[in-house]
Amino acid sequence: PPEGEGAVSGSAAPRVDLGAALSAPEVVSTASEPPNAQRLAPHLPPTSATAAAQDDVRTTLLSPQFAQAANQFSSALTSGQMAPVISQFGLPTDVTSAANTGDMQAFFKALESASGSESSRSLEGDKKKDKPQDDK
Amino acid sequence: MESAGDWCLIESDPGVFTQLIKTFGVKGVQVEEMWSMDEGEGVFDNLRPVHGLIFLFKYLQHEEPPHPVVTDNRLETIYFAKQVINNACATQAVVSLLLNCSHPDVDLGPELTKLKEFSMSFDPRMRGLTLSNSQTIRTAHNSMSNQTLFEFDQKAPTKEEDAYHFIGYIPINGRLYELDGLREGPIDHGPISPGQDWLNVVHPIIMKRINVYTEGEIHFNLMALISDRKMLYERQIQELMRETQILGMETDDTEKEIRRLRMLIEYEDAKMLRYQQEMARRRHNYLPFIITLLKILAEEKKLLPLYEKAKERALKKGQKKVRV
Repeated sequence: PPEGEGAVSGSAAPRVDLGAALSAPEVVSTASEPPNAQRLAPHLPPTSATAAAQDDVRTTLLSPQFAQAANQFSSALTSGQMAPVISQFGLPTDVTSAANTGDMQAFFKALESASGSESSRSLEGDKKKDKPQDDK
Repeated sequence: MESAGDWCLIESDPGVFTQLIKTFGVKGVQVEEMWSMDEGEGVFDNLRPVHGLIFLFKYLQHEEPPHPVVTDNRLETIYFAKQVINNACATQAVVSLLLNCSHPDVDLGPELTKLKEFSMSFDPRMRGLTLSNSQTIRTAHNSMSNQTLFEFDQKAPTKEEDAYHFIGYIPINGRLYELDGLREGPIDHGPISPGQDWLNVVHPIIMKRINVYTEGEIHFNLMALISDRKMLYERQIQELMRETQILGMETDDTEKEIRRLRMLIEYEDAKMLRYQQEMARRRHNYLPFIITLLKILAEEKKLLPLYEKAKERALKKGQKKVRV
């Protein structure tokens, strides 16, 4: 088990599943804004649809397959075993070590402060993100 | 033998089953989900010919079979395989139906034909081992499963998922059989009279089973193995065109009918495309997408508020559960 699990998140913290959270209307509208949809487009499932990136982003966010992946992501994150995976995405060390604690809130907080001060670095990270896993 | 264990769970979904069958190299069949059985045998009207039914339910405990289990020499003609691997039961149910199917619409293809010839003389347990060791079947089965983002030790053991069980119903040589890989042999549900539709025989049996599960709030799901719709519609169009040629003229009725069939073909094409897209969604690695999405939300300072909301919702849900 990860160190300090109890200390950071507290045993009272409820289990938060990201599947429902990431398909909320405010997320869908933010992600569908053209510049954001452009950034997400390369990571969409290859559905061979001719739809515009915005529509595809919306469909993906609302799909049960994405919800399942997001829930998997949150349980892996909470288990504190995500850091090695997350470090492959070129995120700042603060973010990676926050991921290591298994505390979702701390991870999100680190992500927000990192993107506030170092937006250029996070953009750089974007370019690397397709590397970690090849299609099998 | 070790590798025989590498089977993943697959979804019980008509799209998954239809594509699974195609990946085996089988032609001329597809799987459709049955939503309701309440309207009597009429529910099968748009599905005929139905070659077999797949019934999925939450497996609770071992119940005694309602009818005798076949142990005699009928096992030489009925392809019954014992289930030796847990997660493979969906695939095994489908394969068992296919291997017992003798309808001219169904073309097993080289792989399953070879498999059947190879293992037909085996006993049910050895047949089960043959199915679980088949590279073709395992690869096809595993290609249907959802992509797991990453390997990690899940603390909570997987819940109900593991306890689902698939069985098949199929007419063989004038009798109705239930193929359940956890039994010692096929269950004989009795004769189908000459000229009687086997669906009329199986309908009350399934209804009885469904009623038990509905009362117990047990999840179940029923799927039909049917002839490839598009193939049937195309055949009907050809038939109509030939008639027209013989008569030397096209009536309004045939014209209308051909138009209707073409629309149905379009509908089937759209459905197959949707299945393929769902499969692409299932097999996709969402990790880069999720990380990018979280970054976008973080840049717009929407991530923490989102987390707070989700936490509140989770807390409320937890409280409700405690109260009950």
